[in-house]
Amino acid sequence: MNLIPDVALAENTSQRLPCVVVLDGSSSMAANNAIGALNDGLKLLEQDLKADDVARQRVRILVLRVGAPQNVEVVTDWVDAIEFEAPEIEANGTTPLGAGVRRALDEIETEKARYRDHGIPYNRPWLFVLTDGEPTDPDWESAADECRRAEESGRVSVFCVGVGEANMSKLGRFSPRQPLALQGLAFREFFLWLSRSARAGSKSSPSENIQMAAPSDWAVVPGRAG
Amino acid sequence: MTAAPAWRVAGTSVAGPCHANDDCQDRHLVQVTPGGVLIALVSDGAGSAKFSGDGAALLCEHVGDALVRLLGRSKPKAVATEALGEAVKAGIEAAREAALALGAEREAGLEAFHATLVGAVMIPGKGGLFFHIGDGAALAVSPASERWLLSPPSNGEYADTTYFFTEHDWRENLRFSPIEPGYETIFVMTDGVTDLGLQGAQPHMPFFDPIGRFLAGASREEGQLALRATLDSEAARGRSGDDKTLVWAQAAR
Repeated sequence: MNLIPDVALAENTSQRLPCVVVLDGSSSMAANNAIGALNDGLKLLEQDLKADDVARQRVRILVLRVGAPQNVEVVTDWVDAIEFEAPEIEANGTTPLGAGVRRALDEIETEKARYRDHGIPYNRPWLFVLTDGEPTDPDWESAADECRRAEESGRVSVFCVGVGEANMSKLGRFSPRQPLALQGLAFREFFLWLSRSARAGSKSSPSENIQMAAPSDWAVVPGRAG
Repeated sequence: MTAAPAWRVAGTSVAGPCHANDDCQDRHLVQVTPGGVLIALVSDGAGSAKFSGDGAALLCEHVGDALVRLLGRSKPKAVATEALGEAVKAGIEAAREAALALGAEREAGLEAFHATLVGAVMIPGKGGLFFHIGDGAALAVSPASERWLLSPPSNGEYADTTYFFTEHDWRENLRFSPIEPGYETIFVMTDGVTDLGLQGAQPHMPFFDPIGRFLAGASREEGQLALRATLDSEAARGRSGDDKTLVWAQAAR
């Protein structure tokens, strides 16, 4: 069939999907080499996102580590997925998750302001929080409340993931969404799920509201045996 | 004797490559009343909602009916903005009721029928009214394209969410903009087409002008086939994976 001649399509800046990952770099993550499995998972995230022509230009990543010597450390500053290089997370120190989450929320608002300044459309940001323990900073509860409110007011979508003996009820304070428990050390499956969700999310148009895939191959719903 | 038609019209909806089984959830309706008033409506059903194609169809049908009832057979002397606005609201109410009834049969709530609305009513030589919930856009262009008027998309903060007629606060998200006299060509489109035809918040005229010229010189059938092929072309599909609907109308000279 003939096309209408001379039709020129507009060139638009594509939408961005900001993703923040807060990772537990506390000493306990060294047990069973959980930290090694986590780092392998990050490498898989890098590969899988880069393999997607659209997602690698739209997904923006920030990786924060909580532990010592700094409470909160920016291990990967905001970067397009195409330039993302998986960081190596160290296991050392305690778990100041409250500070980590507070920093993540601040970073998200700053990043959104940058998009607005440059007229770049963006999706609702995603925040992933991953720990094998529980928050150790004294004012974590106010940070958790802040995080929950940010989710409830639509500023961010928060996903909490517990590893091993993580305190799921404390983790559950950070989001109205139920926290998920990682099966064993299924970090590769988790990061692949994150990547696939971001690949779909980065392409979703307003009328679509792409749903995240069920995290069935890496998570168990807490409270059940298994 | 039948009067010469007041408007030339064309419109098409194509399924986006993102939507499995070529299942298009866009709907459109274009109609000219016996009095020569143009009614052009498009609706984009949300891909995530189960019966959104039905929602879009109900919305076009009921808003169209409400406007036809108001306009009747006579040729209006002026644009009665307020009465047109009330008719649009009544049409949306009727579509919500119809969706609720259909949902009751299917054990689904209103949210299963999520759909946007973009529409235009135009009286030849007298201007008209745009009405709009959510994304998509409506564009009025003067002869020779010296001037244009746009009803732009409105999504709220995020690029991946929008507003629907099925939401409880639809009245707050329903926007009207008057079209003054002097515009003769209208384009009404869903968000799959704004991806191709809007440059930021402005219409990209090198997209719309060639389409308008072609449709003006073709039969409706031929025009719609070429429009369909253009919206479904490799380049267009590469730019947007969404369903694409474009309705065009031009006042007869």
